[in-house]
Parts: sequence; C-alpha cells; structure tokens
Amino acid sequence: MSRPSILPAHTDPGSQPLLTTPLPAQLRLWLQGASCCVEVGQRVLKHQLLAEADSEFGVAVHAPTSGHIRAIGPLPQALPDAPLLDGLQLQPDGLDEALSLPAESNWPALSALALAMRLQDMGVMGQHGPLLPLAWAAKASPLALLIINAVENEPFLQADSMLLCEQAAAVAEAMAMLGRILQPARLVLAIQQEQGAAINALRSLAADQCWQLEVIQAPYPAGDEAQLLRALARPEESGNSLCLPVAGVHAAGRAILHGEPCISRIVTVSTALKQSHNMRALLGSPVADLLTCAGLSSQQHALVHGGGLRGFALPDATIGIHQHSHCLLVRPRQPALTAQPCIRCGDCASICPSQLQPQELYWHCSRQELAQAQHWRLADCSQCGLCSAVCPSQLPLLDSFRLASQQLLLAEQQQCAADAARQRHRFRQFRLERDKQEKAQRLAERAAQQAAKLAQQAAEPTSHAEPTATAADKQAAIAAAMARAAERQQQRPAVAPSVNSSEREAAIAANRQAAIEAAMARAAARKAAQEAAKAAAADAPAMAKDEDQNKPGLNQQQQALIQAAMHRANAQKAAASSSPASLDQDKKALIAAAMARAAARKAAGDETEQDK
Amino acid sequence: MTLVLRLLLLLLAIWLLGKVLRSSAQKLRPATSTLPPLAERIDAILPQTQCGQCGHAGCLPYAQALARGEDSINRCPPGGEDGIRKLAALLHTDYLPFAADAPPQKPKAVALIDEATCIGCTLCIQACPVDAILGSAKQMHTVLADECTGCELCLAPCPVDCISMRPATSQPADWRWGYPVIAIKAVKPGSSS
Amino acid sequence: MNTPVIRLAPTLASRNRQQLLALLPAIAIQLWQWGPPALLALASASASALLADSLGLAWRRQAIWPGLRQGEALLTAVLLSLLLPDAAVPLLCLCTGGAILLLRQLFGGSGSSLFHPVAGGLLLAAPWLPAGLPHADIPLSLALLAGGLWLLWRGLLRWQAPLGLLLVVLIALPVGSGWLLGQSALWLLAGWVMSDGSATPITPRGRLVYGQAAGMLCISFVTLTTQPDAGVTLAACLLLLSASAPLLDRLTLSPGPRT
Ligand code: SF4
Ligand code: SF4
Ligand code: SF4
Ligand code: SF4
Repeated sequence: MSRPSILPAHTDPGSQPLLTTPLPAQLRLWLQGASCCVEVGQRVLKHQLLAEADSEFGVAVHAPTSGHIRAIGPLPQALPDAPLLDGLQLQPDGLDEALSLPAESNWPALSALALAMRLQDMGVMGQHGPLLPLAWAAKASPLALLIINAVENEPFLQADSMLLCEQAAAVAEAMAMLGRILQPARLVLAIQQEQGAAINALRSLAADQCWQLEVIQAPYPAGDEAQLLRALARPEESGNSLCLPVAGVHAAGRAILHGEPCISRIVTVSTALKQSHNMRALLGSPVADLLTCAGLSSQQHALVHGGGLRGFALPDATIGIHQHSHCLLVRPRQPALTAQPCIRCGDCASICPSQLQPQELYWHCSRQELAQAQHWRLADCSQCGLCSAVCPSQLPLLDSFRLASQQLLLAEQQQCAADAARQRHRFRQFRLERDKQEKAQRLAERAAQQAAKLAQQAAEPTSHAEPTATAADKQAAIAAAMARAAERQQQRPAVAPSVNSSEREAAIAANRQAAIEAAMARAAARKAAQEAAKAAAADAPAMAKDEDQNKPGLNQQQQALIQAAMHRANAQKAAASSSPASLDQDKKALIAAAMARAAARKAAGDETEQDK
Repeated sequence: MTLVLRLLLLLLAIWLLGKVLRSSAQKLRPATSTLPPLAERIDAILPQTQCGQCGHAGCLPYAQALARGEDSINRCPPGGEDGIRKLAALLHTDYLPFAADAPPQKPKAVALIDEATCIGCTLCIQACPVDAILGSAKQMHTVLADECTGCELCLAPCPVDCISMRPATSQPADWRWGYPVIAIKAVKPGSSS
Repeated sequence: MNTPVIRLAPTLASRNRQQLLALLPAIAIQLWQWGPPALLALASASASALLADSLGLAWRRQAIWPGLRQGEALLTAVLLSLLLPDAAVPLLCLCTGGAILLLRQLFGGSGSSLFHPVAGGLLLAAPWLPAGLPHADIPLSLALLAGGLWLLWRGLLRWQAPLGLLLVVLIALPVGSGWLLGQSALWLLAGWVMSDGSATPITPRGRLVYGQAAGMLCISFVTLTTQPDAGVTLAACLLLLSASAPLLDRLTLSPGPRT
C-alpha cells in the first residue's frame, strides 16, 4: 500500500474564487501568551493593540475590526477536552475604522532580533509562537538555509495555494524582505508538485529574485519541517536552517512593509467531496460564520478543525478561528464506530513515513509502557495520522501516540523537578550540618581568644609571671590558628557543594575532620585557659576588673560574625529569588556566603591583630 | 537398576541446565559494580517530596531502608502506583498495592502563606526540607511555588496557621490529550459537551 | 475525542466483505458442481459459525453484534464449506463451530488467534474425510485465482506469503509438484488463509519466509509420504509454521534506525 496511491489527490483552488466572510456579529480572540491591555466596554479601532505578548512564545493581538470589547474571560479552545483559555469578545460596530499604523520606513536596517520582536508585536505567528523564534534571533548566527514552506500538509487543504495564487507578488516581496534582513546563504520556497496553479503564479516571479522555487515530489507529510529539511538541506546546512510557513511570511511582509498587523487568514472549508471553499476570515470569526459563508450548515455536520488526518473534532461551532486554523473539514455525521483488536495486518507499518512499527507502539502505549514505547521510537513519530487512517481495526493509534508523547514530556518535567528538589534538600542538609560545625568552631575560637586575652592580662601586671604567660599566649595563638585552619579546610568543599554524591561524601568527610580538629582546638584552648587561669590565680581581682575591658573586643568579633551570617542570608535570598534557573542558585549562594564569611574572617583577624 | 540410573542422569541433566542458565543470567545482568549504590538508584526514582509520609525522615532514608530490605515498597503516597511499579521493577519484586496504613494520595499542591497573617517567626523556614520559603525574622515570609514540593511540613509549625495548600495551578498549557477511548463516537456539533 | 476523520483504507468489516465477494465465483462454481446440497452445507456451516462466534463473544463478555458484524465467522464458514465439499453436513457444522470456538475465541478473539481457524477446522475434519484420490478441480481453481487477483488489485491481499508458496511450488515442478496447482485447496489456503495477519509474521520479509517454508514443508510431505490430500497437508504445515510466527517476528521486527 503506497502513500501516493491512497491519498486523496490534491485539487487546485484555481477555478474557485477567494471568498471574504461577512463581518461576524462577534469575534472571539484568545490571549495565549499575551496580556490584555484594553478594558471591557472600551471602543477599539481596527489594528489597535488589544493584548501584548507577555512571554517569549506569545504574540500580540490586534483588533481585526473596530468595535467594542464586550467581555474578557475564559473561552473554550479549539482542542478536545481542553480547559477554557482567557480570551476577549469583540463586538464589531460595522464601521471598520482603522488606526493607521506607520510602515517600517527603514526596514533594511533592522537586525534579526529587532525584526523578530517587531513581528511579535505585530501578531505574526509561525509554527510555535512568533514567526521568528526570539531565542534563535537573539543568537544572530548566520543562516545557511531559509525554507519558506508552501506545501499543503493535509489532504483537501488549499489555503497556501490560494494565498500564492492571489498574493504571489506580496509573498515575493515579503521573501525579499526576509532575505535582505536575515541574509540566508540560500532562500528556498518549497512547494508540492500538485500545486500547479501556485507554481505557475510563482514561476514568472522567481526569475529575477534572490530565492529559488523548489518543487517537492514526495507525498503527504512532505510539508513537515523535518521532512522538508531532509529533502532540501544539504548536509552542511542541516544544522543551520529555518523553516517558515508561507502564510506567516506573507503576514510578515504586510506588517513590516505596510504596517498592517496580522488580523486575518485564509481558511479552507472543505467537505472532502472535491468541494472546497477558500475564504479570508478575520481572526476570531466564529466557525459557524465560515460555514454559512461556504453555504453549509453547522447543524447537520460534524466539524473537524485542522485537516483530515491530524485534525480533531470541534466541540462547538461558536469557537473563533485562530492563526493555525488553516482548514475546517465538514463531514456528514457518521454512525458510532467501534474499534476492533489489532489484526496484525501490518498496513500501518507499511504506510508509516517514519518507518515505525505503529502496531508495536500502540501495544505499548495502550498499556502505558512508556519506556518500551520509547524503545520503539515514539520520539520519531511525526504524528501524521496515516496509520490511524489506514488501520482496518480503526484503532486510535494517533491519539495514543499523542497522549504517550505528552506523558513522556510530563514525566521528564517531573523528573527534572524531583532532581531539583533532591539537590535543594541535600544542600539544605549539608548547610545545617555545616552551620552546626561552624557554631562549635566559633565557640572554640572565642574561648581560645578569651584565654589568650586572659593570659595576656594575667601576664601584664606581674613581670615574674611573664614566661608562663607567653607560653599560654603561644598555646592560645596556636589553638586559634588551628581552629582557623580547620575552618579554612572546611571551606574548601563548600566551593562545589553536593554536585554529586562522591563530592558530597568528601565534603561530609572534610566536615568530620574539621569537627575533630575543632574539638582538638577546643581542648587546647581549654588547656591554655586553665594554665592562664593558674598563672593568673594570684591576681584574681585584677582579672575580674579587666574582664569588662575585654568585652568590647569580643563584641566586635561577634558583631562581625553576625554581619557575616546576615550577609550570607541576604546573599542566599538574593540568589534564590534572582533567576528562575534555580539549579545553580545553591552554588551561587554558597559562594557568596563563603566570600562574605572570608571577608568577615579577615576583618576579625585584623581586629585581633590590632588587639595584640 | 536402569530406572535409577536414568533418574540420576535426568537429575544430572537438570542440574547442569540450571547451572548453565544461572551463569548465563548472571552474565546478562549488567555489572553491578559500575552502577551507583542501590540506595542512590532507589532515591533516583522516589519523588523527592521529602514529606516523610513513608515514615522516614525523607526520601533518601526511605531509599536506604528499602536497599537494606527493611521496608516495603508501597509506602510513598506522592510516588503513586507508578512509583511502586518502578520500585518493583528496580528491586525485582512484585507490585504491591498501597499499604493499608499509608496516608492517602493527594493531587499535587503547593503551599501558600497568607502574607497578612504571617508574623515572621521563621519556624516554617526551618521546617521546609527544600528551602522553598523565603523570609527573615519578623519579616513576612513567602513560598517559592516553583521549588515547593507540596510536602506540607510547614503547616504544623506555623503558630498562626497562616499556611494553606493550594492545588498546583493548571495552566492552559498543561492541557493533555485525553486518554483515547476505544469506542469512537461521531461528533455532535452545536452541542457544547 | 479525536476521530481519524478521513479513512484511507477499508475497515475490517468491509475488508472481510470484499474477501467474501472475491469468493463468489468459486461459490457459484461449487453450487453448479454439487447442486442444492452444497447450498444446504453452506447455510448450515454459516449458521453454526455465527452461533459459535456469538457464544464465544458472550463468554468473553464482548459485545456480540459488533463482533459478528466484522464478518470473520461468516468468512470462516464459507471457506470451510468450499474446502470440504464432500463432507457430511453435521461434520462440517461441527468442525466450523469447533474451530471458531477453539482457535479464535479461546485465544482471545480475532487478532489474537495464533492458529488460523480455517486451517484448524480442516485438520479437525481430516480423519473423517472420505479417502479417495484427489482430483484436480480446474474450474474452481481458476475461479479462486480470479478472486485472489481481484483482491490483489484492490490492495487487500497481503501477497508475500502466497507468493513465497507459489515460488516454491513452481521451483519444485521437476520433483512433481505440478498436480498441486490443480488443487483448489491450495489456492484457497494461499489466498484467504496465508494472507491473514495474526497467524503469519507481520513483516513482509517474515511473510515471504513463512510462505516458502510452508511450501517446502508441504511438498516434502506430499512427495515423501502417501498422504494424498494437499489441502490437509498444507493446513497442517500452516498450523505448524504459525507456531513459529512469533519467532519470525522477533527476528525480523526491529524498531528501525534512530534518526
Ligand atoms: S502517526 Fe506516527 S506512527 Fe503513525 S504513520 Fe505517522 S509517523 Fe508513523
Ligand atoms: S493497521 Fe491496525 S490492525 Fe493493522 S497492524 Fe496496524 S494497528 Fe494492527
Ligand atoms: S513518602 Fe515523602 S519522604 Fe517518603 S519517599 Fe515518598 S516523597 Fe519521599
Ligand atoms: S513550602 Fe511547605 S509544603 Fe512547600 S516544600 Fe516547603 S515545607 Fe513543603
């Protein structure tokens, strides 16, 4: 069973005129990735900005015609069982008063990124989000191959052919503009052999242009990005090419060269009986209006959004069309069908353009064995729907592949979240442990210092006691130095915390070592203090008096430590709240804290030196 | 006599076969020395909510208990049945239904601090196992929703009960294709189902 | 739920209908050859098949009418009555019903039946068949051939296994396999049983191997032994090889190269 022989032949829209839908009574626009900047009740003019893109993947929404905003709130989406999505309802007032937006007069000077952002603001959409992905444009890498995709990627679809027949010059203009700004080494317009009328319209234009016309021979999923790249890109170009839908390119041309935001698109309304109507419809027009325009009634038919093989049933004919609504399929309602078990006919495998074994994939997907599904190359499924369309048992192959891919994606996200949580939890444990050690150390240090001071003071009044005092002093200094060394040793693993378990273990081992050393330092300090006390026993009243004088020094040190701790907390907080990429935060916070601590230590060290 | 001999031969053959099978099975199994320790591998498939509902102080202690064979695999509610299945596969044991005394499973939620009520006591910060709460003494605290695992450990310590659990928000982008049903129904346009 | 909105190939029910349609010339010839008793045999075999299928479906707690509507039981009955023209009616009913119950329903319905019920039914009936010299039935063979070609043209015949079988029979002509070509059972089993999916490997390569192996086994049996009935021998070979189909699948089926 070969693909070309069973796919319905493409028919040219040639003889059919491009219809224009009458102004609908209500427009329903979705605000995905865009935040609304108008209010309910406000009058808006055609082309006026209604919502601004609020993420990298959203595009702005403009008013398709003049009228009043009637509601802003959740609307049903054109997806099966999807939750409501925020949208706005615009009631046209029939005047079609337009805001005149200036064209970009100096467009050749635009950079790729500026162009991408301009297109986002003009509401020009590509496959996923803005026509030119912002992340790609920001990299500003030289482009080897730019493919403008005019291949009709569904049976019965004629929208792109229609656009090329009607607006060949405008499309050529837009392509020249893109070629000028993006400077691709090769600019190609891909079209399928069956789209004869469109090829004819372009042939005359392609002669003296910077782009070439590539006529594709391959059958159906030839319009997929991956398939086009495989067919057109030379090996050296394949990593560095971009594929844009021709409708988006046309809209980009209108937006940049004429200052018209994208507010309409061409939709094919087909009954699959060689009867297709193409119409230019305002974005947000209810599906029912399009059907009426094509002379069909939404009451008697089943509606499919998005083409015959990949489309899905629309729950509701009041849903407004959006930038991806290239095709509406109207079918007679079918009797309920029941899927039968797989008879292992192998037809799905022989038709699959990705050379998969859909029957094995389905077996594993339907039993939720995602790892096995991955083994059978679920990731390579282009979700073209051919296997579902030929399966004699009418199994929901495509549906289960879509579901399984999404489950895989979800599992991946969950794994990422769990990994992040693990890292944070381990770091927290490490931090608690370290804080405990540090506290012990601080106490030891303080005791050592106090002892040193005591020894000093004990030594000062009586000259004959000097030898013992210096000995005690020395011992105290050694203890302090050891304590410092221990602390420093403990800092070392802190530079790269808990990156993996072995390093973590090393850190913990170092901590333990530090604890032992701290304990030793403590013992030494205690000993020193004892000796100092012994030495000073003769002069108890003097010591008691001098103790008060010691306090400011100690207080200073304490303050420095408190400051350090506060610094660390601040640094942690700042790091935690600064960037969404939270994986590195712990590391950053730790480094910041270590730096703050080092500064504090230095300050404290200076102080003790001054004290001496 | 021959019967006994034959029986002996049969036993010998079975023994030999068993030996061959066992050694080949050992050869086929991945070398355990190159893998991380079992507790680490178990920890890698636990959900890291760190909630302690399994009766251990966190996921890693539970993983260590599992590795020592001291606990059963059906005690982690956040991991769900899927988690039990993964554990069963990793530990080469049978799937077990949830332990009768395990807390019930709940949908994923994140903590939310009522910022008007928070007195800045820092008790919740000390309870949070993943440092998902920000704030300092006598300042209002807040939860980093992206980092919160929904473990509910911060609820109990709060002296003014200002922390509540909210379902993890479901974005339109979180939409999934529904599970394919085997009976395919004709579409009824116009009826908003 | 998403519906595959356009269908590019016939459904299971319509496939089975067309397979039945392709048998029409053969049925006509058989009626002409055997007269009204053949009609009676056909009708009672069909009734018994439908009864057995509904029983099995009910036992497996499946919806009965959607299962029957697929027409597989009917196809089995027609094939068996074409294969066993001279069997007594009760025997025919018994082996039709028995094959459907044992080989289809017991294995979990169509698609899971590892052994084809028609081949199994033929084997069930074999001990009671009147022994006699096989006679070549050229008209019936031609009618079946025509039906098979029509199926091929409609794209409904998975041709690899039958091709493998025919290739072997043609190559073995010097050994004296020519008489097999006149046997209607050969054509029937090749066109309607060997092209079934669940009892054969799923990959084209596996099916070719399956067909060739069946041909070789069958020819060695009929030439080396005195078993005169080509149909029963071939059916036995098919059943034998069906058991190896999962193995062939394992050998020939792979996820393919990663891209
Ligand atoms: S949907 Fe996937 S598995 Fe099915 S034919 Fe297309 S690529 Fe192959
Ligand atoms: S087309 Fe359908 S019935 Fe045939 S092998 Fe594929 S899944 Fe099974
Ligand atoms: S119950 Fe909580 S702490 Fe225990 S393993 Fe599961 S998520 Fe981790
Ligand atoms: S904020 Fe509360 S619920 Fe969330 S992870 Fe921290 S302690 Fe658990």
